[in-house]
Amino acid sequence: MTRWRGAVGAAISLMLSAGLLLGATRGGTAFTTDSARAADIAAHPVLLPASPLVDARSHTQAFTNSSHVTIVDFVYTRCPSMCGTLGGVYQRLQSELVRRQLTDRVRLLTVSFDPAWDTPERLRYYEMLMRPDTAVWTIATLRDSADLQRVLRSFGVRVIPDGIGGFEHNAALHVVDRTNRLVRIVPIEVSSLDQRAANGPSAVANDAYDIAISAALAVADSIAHATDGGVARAVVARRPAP
Amino acid sequence: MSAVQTIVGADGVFTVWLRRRGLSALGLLLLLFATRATTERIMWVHMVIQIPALVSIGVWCAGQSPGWSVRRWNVAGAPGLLLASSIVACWMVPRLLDAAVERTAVDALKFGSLVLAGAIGYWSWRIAPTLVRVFAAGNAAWMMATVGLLLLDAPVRLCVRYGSTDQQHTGYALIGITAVVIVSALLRAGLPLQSVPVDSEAAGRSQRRRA
Repeated sequence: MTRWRGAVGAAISLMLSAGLLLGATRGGTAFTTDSARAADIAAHPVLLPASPLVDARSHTQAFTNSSHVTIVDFVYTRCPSMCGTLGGVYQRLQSELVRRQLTDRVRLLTVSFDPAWDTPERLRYYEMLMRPDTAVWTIATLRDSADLQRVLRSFGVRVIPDGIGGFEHNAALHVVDRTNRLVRIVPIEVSSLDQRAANGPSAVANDAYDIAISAALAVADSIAHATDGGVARAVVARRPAP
Repeated sequence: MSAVQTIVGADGVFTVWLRRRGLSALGLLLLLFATRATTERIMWVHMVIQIPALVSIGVWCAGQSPGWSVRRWNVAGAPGLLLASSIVACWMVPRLLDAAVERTAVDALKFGSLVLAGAIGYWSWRIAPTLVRVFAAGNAAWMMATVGLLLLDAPVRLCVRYGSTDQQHTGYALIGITAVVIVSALLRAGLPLQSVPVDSEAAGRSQRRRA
């Protein structure tokens, strides 16, 4: 009489525990907010708010246009660590776009989430550093802070003070299609502790950049082709040729 | 006595709980909830102070263990201890930690579930034989040390709400807590520093015989 209750109790506890842990990690696939968000977006793209951007020449820009798939990242230009990394990734993305002749369908957009510091004038300094081909790569910010918060929220970007006057933020490549939908988030799985790699970027970090760059390009390219009405051609080169 | 009576009857667990420590525990909980913006701003305060505090409140106001009618579903306390540690483990998942900081409803769920985990853990601990206690404490220590090492070892920030330095501090703090858990578990299990049986264990055994 007692024994079956004990067995049932143990079974219930086991099932509840397994259920809780599997639920918390989505079956062991998503431990972090970023990975869960990336999976959500891949399954269900979200429409982004139509917020106007302002570029280094004080021209108004949009997050997307109807002819290009856009790869978006978020930085602040006085960032000592992660944004420098992102800048490097974007420079390589730009040269890859040119090399693969994708510039007529894919563009790059870097958005500063620190408009108080990153005025158009300061963005111009950043441009001198990054040397973007402005036909391919736009560097901009948002004027309105309510707009900015809305945009950060819809992209899932969290910006927190780092305690020494700067910010810490999650870094990823966000692919936005021609209809202003965020369709994919490609994480950059490397150290935000780039200080640690001050003695030169490690091989692991370079691999991570390569993977992120290839993945973002492959997604952008396939979306661009799919919406062209052509055959979706997934150019999944895990590592781009040097 | 039926299981329901044991829990809500005139002298049931729930009523006893309300009479004895429920109100002060509720006050403490409300205080912790009101200050959540402050305590949850720093990762190690969140994980190493607030979460253990919530579990402790559960332990503190758990009151007397449920009677035999409930206890026979919880043989040797093992199912209860497993469930309690799983609940705590869930709130160590970075994704849920972020969600608790960002969403009040999730945080309320965290508060409730951790207090419950504390109570379930306590009730189960009291009826658990030494072997189960050692296993449960060892498991909890192993879990915390693992999370601590993961936090220290991760090349990236795991929580979008917390910075990398904060993550490092939390890693060290969790490993520190692990040491505390191991030492206190050894003391409480009466191994090997105490040769006399612990009172609560003896009381638990006689209670079971009476029921």
